[in-house]
Amino acid sequence: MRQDERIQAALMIIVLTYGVLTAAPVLLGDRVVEPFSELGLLGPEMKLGDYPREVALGESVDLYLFLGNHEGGITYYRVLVKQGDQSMNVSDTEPYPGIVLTQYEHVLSDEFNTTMPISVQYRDPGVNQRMVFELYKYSPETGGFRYDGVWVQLWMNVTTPQ
Amino acid sequence: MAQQILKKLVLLLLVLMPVGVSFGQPTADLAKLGQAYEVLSVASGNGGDVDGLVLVFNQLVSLVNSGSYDIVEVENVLDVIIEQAERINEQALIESRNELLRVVATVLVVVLVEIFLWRGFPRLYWSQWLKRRGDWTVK
Repeated sequence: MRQDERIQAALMIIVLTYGVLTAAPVLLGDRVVEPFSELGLLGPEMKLGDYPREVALGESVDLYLFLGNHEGGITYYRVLVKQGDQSMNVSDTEPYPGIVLTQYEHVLSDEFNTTMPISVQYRDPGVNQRMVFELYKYSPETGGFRYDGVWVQLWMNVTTPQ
Repeated sequence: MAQQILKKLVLLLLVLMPVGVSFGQPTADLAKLGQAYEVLSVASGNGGDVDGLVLVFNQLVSLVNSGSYDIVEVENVLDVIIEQAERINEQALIESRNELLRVVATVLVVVLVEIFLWRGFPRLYWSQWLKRRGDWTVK
């Protein structure tokens, strides 16, 4: 290869690389390959673990709720907290048919997360009662919240105060 | 300008918000909350920075969740959020269009430079070479 051809090839590669690096972010964009949301439950010490195993009816269960947004855009979340037992399993497709104890709402920008303190009380006493946290997302198309199939739960014995 | 409005919004919320608001109360169904969210979502989707408005929106949601709020005041704040988000959206659309134009122009320049380098570089190189070294003599 002659000297001029070598210089020519080098210059063409440099210019082409600059063009590709400039155009690629716009052409590829910030596409999210697999959008998802995070829902987590932390104990009273704001750690995974140390969850209460027994609580008296009427006594507040203090926990922390973690939400994370990787949906590729801002998302309006609602978390329903429900009481249930062992008679029915929680589903990824259908909302759990338990009593709604309370609910939380939060809007998160993309790639943001939040940890919020929560305080929930059971309504009914019983052994092996579950507290189910279900994640819902607001749908502008329907103008309402729809179940996202994401849930966490906490098992507890709920005692009647003496 | 936008920051001043945002500060005013936060101050207004602080006045409206009762002390010790918890997340644990049921939300009233305010249609305007959904409307404001949609506008924020569109602005964010077009690349607008709505983080400040999202912060105010979340405070508003907490206020509504608390159950003790003045619906007129809340709707007024939501109106301001919607107005701001629409403005941010317009700005974001202009910026994204400018960015696209910049990239298209860059790609066109790169293509033209590549064509020039491919077709004209050897001639340019050797003409320069001859201009600088054409008077050399071989001994």
